[in-house]
Amino acid sequence: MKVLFMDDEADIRELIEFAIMVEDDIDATFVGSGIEAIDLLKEEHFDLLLLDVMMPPPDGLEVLRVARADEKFRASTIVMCTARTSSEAEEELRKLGADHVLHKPFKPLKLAEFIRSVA
Amino acid sequence: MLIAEYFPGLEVRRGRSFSAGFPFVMLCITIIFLAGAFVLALADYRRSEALMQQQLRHFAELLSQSLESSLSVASVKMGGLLDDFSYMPFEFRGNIDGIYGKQLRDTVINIEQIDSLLFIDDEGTVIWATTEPLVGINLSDRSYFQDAIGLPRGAFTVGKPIVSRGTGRRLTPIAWPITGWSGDVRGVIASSLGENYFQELLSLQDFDGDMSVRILAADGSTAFSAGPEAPNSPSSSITARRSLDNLGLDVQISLSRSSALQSYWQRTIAFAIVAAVLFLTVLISAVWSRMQSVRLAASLDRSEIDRIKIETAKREFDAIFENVGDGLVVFDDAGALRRSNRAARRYLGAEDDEIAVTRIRDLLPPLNDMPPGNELYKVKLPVRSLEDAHKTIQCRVMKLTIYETAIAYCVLEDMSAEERLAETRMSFITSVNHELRTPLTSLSGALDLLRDRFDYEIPPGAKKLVNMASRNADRLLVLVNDILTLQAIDHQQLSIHREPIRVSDALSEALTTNAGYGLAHDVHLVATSLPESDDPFLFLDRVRLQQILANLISNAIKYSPSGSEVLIGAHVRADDVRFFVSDKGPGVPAKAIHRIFERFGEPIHSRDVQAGGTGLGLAITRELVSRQGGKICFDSFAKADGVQDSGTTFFVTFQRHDKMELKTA
Repeated sequence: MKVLFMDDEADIRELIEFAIMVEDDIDATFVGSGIEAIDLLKEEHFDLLLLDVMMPPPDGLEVLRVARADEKFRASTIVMCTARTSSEAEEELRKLGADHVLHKPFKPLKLAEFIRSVA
Repeated sequence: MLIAEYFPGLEVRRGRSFSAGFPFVMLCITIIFLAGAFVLALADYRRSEALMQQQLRHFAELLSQSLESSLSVASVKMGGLLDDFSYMPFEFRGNIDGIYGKQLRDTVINIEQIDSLLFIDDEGTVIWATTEPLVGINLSDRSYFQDAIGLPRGAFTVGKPIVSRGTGRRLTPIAWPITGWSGDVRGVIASSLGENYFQELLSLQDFDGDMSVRILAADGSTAFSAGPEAPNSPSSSITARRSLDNLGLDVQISLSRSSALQSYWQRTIAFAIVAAVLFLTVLISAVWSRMQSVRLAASLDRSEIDRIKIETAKREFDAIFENVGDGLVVFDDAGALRRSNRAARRYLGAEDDEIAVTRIRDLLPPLNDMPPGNELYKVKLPVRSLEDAHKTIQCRVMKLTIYETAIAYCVLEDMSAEERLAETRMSFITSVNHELRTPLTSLSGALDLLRDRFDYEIPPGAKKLVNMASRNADRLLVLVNDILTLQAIDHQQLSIHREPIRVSDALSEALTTNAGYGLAHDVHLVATSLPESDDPFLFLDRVRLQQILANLISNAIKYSPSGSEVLIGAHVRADDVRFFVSDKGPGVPAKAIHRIFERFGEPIHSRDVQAGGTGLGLAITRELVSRQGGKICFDSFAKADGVQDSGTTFFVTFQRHDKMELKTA
């Protein structure tokens, strides 16, 4: 399962990488900016996208829009990561095409389990 | 004095100090009055005395004139008789009575001044007398005879008074010489002036009975005296004299001072009484008005103090009124009362009271329509300045009716001030938390990974430290998350995803999730199972329900004595389900019951009992329960209140899903 993880916090990316490294069934790619992500989306296909919402532009929402506009990600699961817990914000994300909303902070060790459950 | 202390600048005039001279002035006036009265009385006395003296002199003059004229008239009348005797040859001595008797008797009858007659020859022998026994007596030794015998024709002499042997009355002799044509003295006709004669003269003069009248002969003997016995001492009487030198008589009239000045004394006493009464009246009114003025001055002082007090109070009130943070506007129906303070004028953008009142009245319903008492109005103020731009002003109006006039007291409160402050505080906390959360997440995650992946490589000593770091990172993370959750709740931003949840599932999930925490605290978590037949659904957010139960269970475990049990379960009732979490902990002391759900409240327990935590757990729990339409309450028996078998049971009640649907259907 190919997974794209986008977060501007290098530490978080590193931690997740460290946590998921041992999971053989998950092949994760990590990007630190929206530009990188959008570039990568053009070339590669991912089964699951974990996108941080709050980032310097282009942010998670921009990437979400790009992904949803792309025919090859139609079947992919897109999870938006956000610290905002309001129901309105969540509703908004779902309207834009997110399949799930993952509340930050989450435990890196539990992420693999989460990925399997939503994929 | 209190006043002087309070108003050091105030000089209170003392009534006593400026009235000290008053009795002295009164005394002086009294002395002057008495002296004046005395001088007046003395002058009057002198005048009265002089007047009386003059009067007496006048009486003496009158009396002596009438005496003189009376005697002259008598003398003239006697002239005829004397003339007859001048021609008469004295040979007929033996038959005097036959020749002259009738003439002599007629003289006594006709001349009133003459009441007796003696016809004495030149040798002093009485040859005829109206009083028969005197005939033949020789009177040549009498001075009046000797005086008269030497007198010219027509003259007469008045002799020394003698006391009549027969009647005991005084008689003053009067004698005329009988001279012949050739100048030879033939004898003397003598008579006497009796007291009745003088009395008659006196009665013609209208004399005062108080006067003492004396007629003295030349030798000082009394010829006549009338009235009271004249006092001898000249100091006690007033005397007037008139001498009749040709007659050898002296008229003396005197009056005792007491009776002479009787009218003076009467007048003076009457005057003194009237004057004294007047003076006393004036004096008393002066003293009285003096007292009044002192009293008035005192009350003026008092009212001055009162005025200063009132003014001070007014100034204090004005200062408070003007500078209080809330806007105040007071106005009445009649338009007589218009008052506003600085804050109100700023809120209303008014330059003066009148504009402020007009503007607030435009914003409020008419005064007549307002109910009496307190009323709250949300007021939308037009934006007048940048700093007021986002203010919400609340107007509290109290309507009072005083003397049939409705008065409105408006308090303008800036509601947004507090809201803004709370918001600022919260947004600060939120931003801090967001900033804290990212590194904390990394820290906590890194530590978790370290323990998970390198468990065997970490030396036992280091592992202890790693665990400690991990535990504290988690604790910090929980706190940060709790705060963010509460903030979401406060801003109505908490997402709630309701789904049907079976009660038994919720209980078993809570048991599994929290059993580990229990084990760590050596507390056994026990769930009472539900009968399968009665296991209803609830329509709640699964995650939030677990959060509620986890909070209550972790609290129960934290406070349970080691080795004890924490009992969880649910009572299924007709309309609702009541979860419970029961522990054998120290209980909630009675004094803390009311603040157990407060955020960051004071510790509930004493230091040795209090367990660590964020201080937000129960606050969040209550919010989560109420946001899902549930209720939370608890029963507690606290050691601190003296209960041996202590413990706490929390109850959380939710509507049953099946019943809920029934109701909505």
